[in-house]
Amino acid sequence: MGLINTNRVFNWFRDSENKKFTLVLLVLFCLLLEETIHLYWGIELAYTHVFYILLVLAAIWYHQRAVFLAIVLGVMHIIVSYEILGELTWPPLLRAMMFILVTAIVAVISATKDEYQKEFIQSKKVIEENHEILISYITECANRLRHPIEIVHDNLRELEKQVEQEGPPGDLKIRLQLQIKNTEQIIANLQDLNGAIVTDDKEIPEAYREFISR
Amino acid sequence: MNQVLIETVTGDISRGKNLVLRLTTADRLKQDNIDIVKTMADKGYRVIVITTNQPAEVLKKNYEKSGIDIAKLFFIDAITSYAIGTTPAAEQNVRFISNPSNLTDLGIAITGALNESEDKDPCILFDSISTMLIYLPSASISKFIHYISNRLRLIDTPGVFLAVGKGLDPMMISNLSTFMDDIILPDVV
Repeated sequence: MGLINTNRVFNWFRDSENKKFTLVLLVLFCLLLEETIHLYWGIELAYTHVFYILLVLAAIWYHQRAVFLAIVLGVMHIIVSYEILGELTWPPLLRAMMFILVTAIVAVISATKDEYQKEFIQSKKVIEENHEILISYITECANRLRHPIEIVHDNLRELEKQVEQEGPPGDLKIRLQLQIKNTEQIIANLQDLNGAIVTDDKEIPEAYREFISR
Repeated sequence: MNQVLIETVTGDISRGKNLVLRLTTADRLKQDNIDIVKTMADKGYRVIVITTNQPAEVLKKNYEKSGIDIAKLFFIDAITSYAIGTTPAAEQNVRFISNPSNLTDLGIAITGALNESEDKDPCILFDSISTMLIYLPSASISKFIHYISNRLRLIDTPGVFLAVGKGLDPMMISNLSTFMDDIILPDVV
């Protein structure tokens, strides 16, 4: 049950509109905190931790662009502090710098992770496509080699049976000629396969080509 | 004669399922061919036998042995010229194609035979899809069968396509099944 709910929340956040909506709500909430707790009540500790929820989420979702938000929040925090105290002090400056630093770190990590994930999905897709191509190729080889050999074999077996039971039929020559032609075509099909392996036929992925031609 | 097969084929055609793929076994291919041709000829159809498997000369002997009147048949032989290396002397009711992979000529010959037989109630027997795999990639065969089946459907003409079931990969059978009205599996004997 808990897992289902977590998944539902996770899926909800996949929608870019929902992400924007969440960030706008958090921005409004942070402005409210700055206005009431800091400016109105004059408390400048603890409430700024809430800013990190906004900044971390923004950094995860929008990477380096979230740093601008951190700068805006930091500057706003410094201005409000200046309004209250009438002078510029170190604590709000440090807090503003921490906003920017934490956001930048999360943004870089998140961007790198997303880049790896993208590459991983891309390479998985390429592997799957290559695998599919190989399966089609092997199937076609089986179609054009194994089955024709079976046909020639069956035709010759039938001819043998007929010769045994009734003696050589009048059309023996043409039937043998046909089987010779069939075997010639099978050899040509085999040469096509070899050609495809030796040349740079893009239908066969390089690793598989190397494997088949061992 | 394989009565079950014959009843299935004739039943399909009488119900308007004109295009039938018969998946058979290698040892039954020849007999299935004879049974279907005999039944269709007896029903008054002019059977157009398209062969890529056995020369028309061999098929004619098999049919005569089984009591089929070969005057009611028309052959499109895509294998004899290829096997002997020259074009055989012209024969009545036989059209020779230079090579089984020459699908253009094969298509023209089939269309011509259907047009000529328009008032004679034609039907087609294709022997066999599996043999064509020796000469052509499966994709080309599927396209060609699609073309022929569409042609037959347009003129409301029955067609039975033979293939050795074991030799066709499932993807190809699946492709072919989309063009056909019914598939008769090898266990129908």
